[in-house]
Amino acid sequence: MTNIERPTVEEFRESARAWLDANLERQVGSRKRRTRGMVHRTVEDIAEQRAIQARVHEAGFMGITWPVEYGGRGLSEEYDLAFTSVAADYVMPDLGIAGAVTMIVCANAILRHASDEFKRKHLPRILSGEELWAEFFSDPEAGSDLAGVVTTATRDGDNWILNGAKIWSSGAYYADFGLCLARTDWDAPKHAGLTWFAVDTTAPGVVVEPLKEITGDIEFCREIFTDVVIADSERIGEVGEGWPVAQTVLRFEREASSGSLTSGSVSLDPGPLAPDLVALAARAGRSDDEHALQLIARSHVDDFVLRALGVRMSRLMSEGHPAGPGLVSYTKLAVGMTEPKRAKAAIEIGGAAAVAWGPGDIEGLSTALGYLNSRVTSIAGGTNEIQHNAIGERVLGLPREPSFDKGKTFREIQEAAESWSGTR
Amino acid sequence: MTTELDHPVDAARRFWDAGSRLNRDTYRADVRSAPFILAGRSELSLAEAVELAEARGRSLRVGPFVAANAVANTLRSHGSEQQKERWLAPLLAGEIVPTLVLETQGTTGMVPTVRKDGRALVLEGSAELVQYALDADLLLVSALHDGRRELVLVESSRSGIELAAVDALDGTRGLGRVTFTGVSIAASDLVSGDTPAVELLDLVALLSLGETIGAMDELFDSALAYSKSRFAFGRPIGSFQVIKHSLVDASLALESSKALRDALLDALVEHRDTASEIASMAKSFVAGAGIDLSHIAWQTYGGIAYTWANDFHLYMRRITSDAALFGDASWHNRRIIALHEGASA
Repeated sequence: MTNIERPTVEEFRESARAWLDANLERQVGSRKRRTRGMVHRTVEDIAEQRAIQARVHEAGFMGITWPVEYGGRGLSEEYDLAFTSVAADYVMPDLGIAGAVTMIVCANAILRHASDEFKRKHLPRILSGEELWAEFFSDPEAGSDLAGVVTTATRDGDNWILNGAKIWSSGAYYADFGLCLARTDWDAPKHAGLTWFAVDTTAPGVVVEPLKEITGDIEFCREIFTDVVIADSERIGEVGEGWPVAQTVLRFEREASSGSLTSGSVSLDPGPLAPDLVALAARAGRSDDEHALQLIARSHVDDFVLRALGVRMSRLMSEGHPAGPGLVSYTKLAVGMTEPKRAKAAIEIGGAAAVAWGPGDIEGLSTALGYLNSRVTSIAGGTNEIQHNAIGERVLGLPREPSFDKGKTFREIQEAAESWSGTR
Repeated sequence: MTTELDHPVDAARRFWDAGSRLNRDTYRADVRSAPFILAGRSELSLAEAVELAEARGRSLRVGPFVAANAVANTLRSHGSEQQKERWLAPLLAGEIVPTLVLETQGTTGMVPTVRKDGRALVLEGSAELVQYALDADLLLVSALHDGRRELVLVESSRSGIELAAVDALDGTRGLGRVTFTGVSIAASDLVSGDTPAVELLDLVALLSLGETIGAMDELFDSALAYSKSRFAFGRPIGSFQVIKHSLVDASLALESSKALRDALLDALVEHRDTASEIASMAKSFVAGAGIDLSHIAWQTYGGIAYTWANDFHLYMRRITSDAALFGDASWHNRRIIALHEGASA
């Protein structure tokens, strides 16, 4: 690192501005949210972005708050905020979904739970863009029931042997490592027999298969592990202590996906009348159709409700509501309920124009993609059903369903499930 | 919900049993004892007025709370000296019962319209959903006059005004219909300008939302408590996911409604020019949210909700009826579209 080690916040801000100005392009116009189905990130495209990130790290602007021994700057939050505010004017390296998962989810789990040796090895390479990480969290047979993973790591001297499969790992096809949850003890209770490992995606026995989504996009992947050898030094957290680490992963996943909704600074200006739906009604020749207008107004209201609810929940949390961060489930659920409703309204407004369009017509395509993407929030990152349970049990105090996995080993739970008949 | 004798909801039951007529002594005492009126002695802030509206909604209190506040506020802000002198003191003392006849209320005939008859002005037309119709002494009417909205303040005893009771889903509002047939209007009966009519709608939206949300809040709490204390198949019914999840839907509807109320209150307090749109968004949303919440409570209670003695139906009637009062969702959606068309024109 070429910069002085302990600048003041102002000096830091100025040096950041000077470096960014000399090295990166300025941001033109506002950043647009990427729509699934419109962009595909290639390994080559990501490689270019890794090179840019390496230069940002070399200049001392990655991992600003991270300890120096892990490749960071060891500075306080103020420095980080100063950099973020200056960097907003520049085109920063974009490592796609795996970049976000690496920095927001995996790095935070590693910082909190991995050994010093592990952190010294991996974290500097994460900051320099040499290591991109994916989450190897869900098994194909364990989605909402996160602790139900059957992917198994068996101890073999100083190594572990991994067998099983993972799915929904965003960006894994260009990631270098997977943060992998495995069962290490089938004869312990369900939540007690889990351990996390770093899996090298190029190791023998690891197959990463990109999955084509219904939007035509390729983003998440599935992995198959056959006798993959993992050194014990690549373990994150203690053996059998995987569930607390999983809580950290989930917490940062939620932060990554719902941060914008719970910010207190969200503008409560009603904004323009659902511009996508107004344009769709015009394309469909229904700009004066009473039913279409009612649907447009209702969708516009629903859009505003989501922002108003985010402001309310954020305020209740800051006022010390007893449910605390559990209130985030309301905004997550509200989006998960509203997006499908809104997409169905678009299909009604558009009629024929929503289901067929001229070759290459981007407007037509965007309505269809909106429809296809409308159940992302209701399924990913905790389904609507999981949010319903979270609110019902943790906020409203309703009793839990009877549990069939308490007081049994995981092996017994699986055997009981296989012979399930509904009677006991 | 209990059905004990001194439960506050019993006042609403008594009102209905008495033919949906106000008891004048009760009304006067209500106005005098409570910090009832925005422009009155207590000078309530808007936030306090909404809280009060919610507290009233929770126990289905009877009385023209919204109208009394709206009329007093309109008088204070836009009334002539003569109008203030004549009406404000008796209004604040609970001596007269006010009601509102707004364009939100709809009509099966002609909307209330002021027309010239020679040199004189005449009010014609009719309107539905007039609250406390048989008891109202003073009407604040939003009428069309030369193509724009104008407020008319007129006593109910004036010749040509006919107030008639109607049968209604919610018997605790005293709903009726008003017909104006050649009602002579003096220039001194008018409240000047277009602006007050708009402000009036937004204030009415805020206070009526307060009443509705108070009723929703109470109904939700009681259904939630019921789901924890009613047992079936060896468990509290609220532990079954199908019931738990529907109660969460109701809770989300309630929290979203409160979020809109918060947004409207802020917009009105800060005099933002988006206040009217937010008022209509809130009325439009809460109409559906309230009915959805009522049905979830209904299904949670099951058979007992079909008994007259259980208070459930009083809340369900009130919330469902409120969805149509002062503009239903469809009316407010049209207003939202019109506000945007006005902005882009």
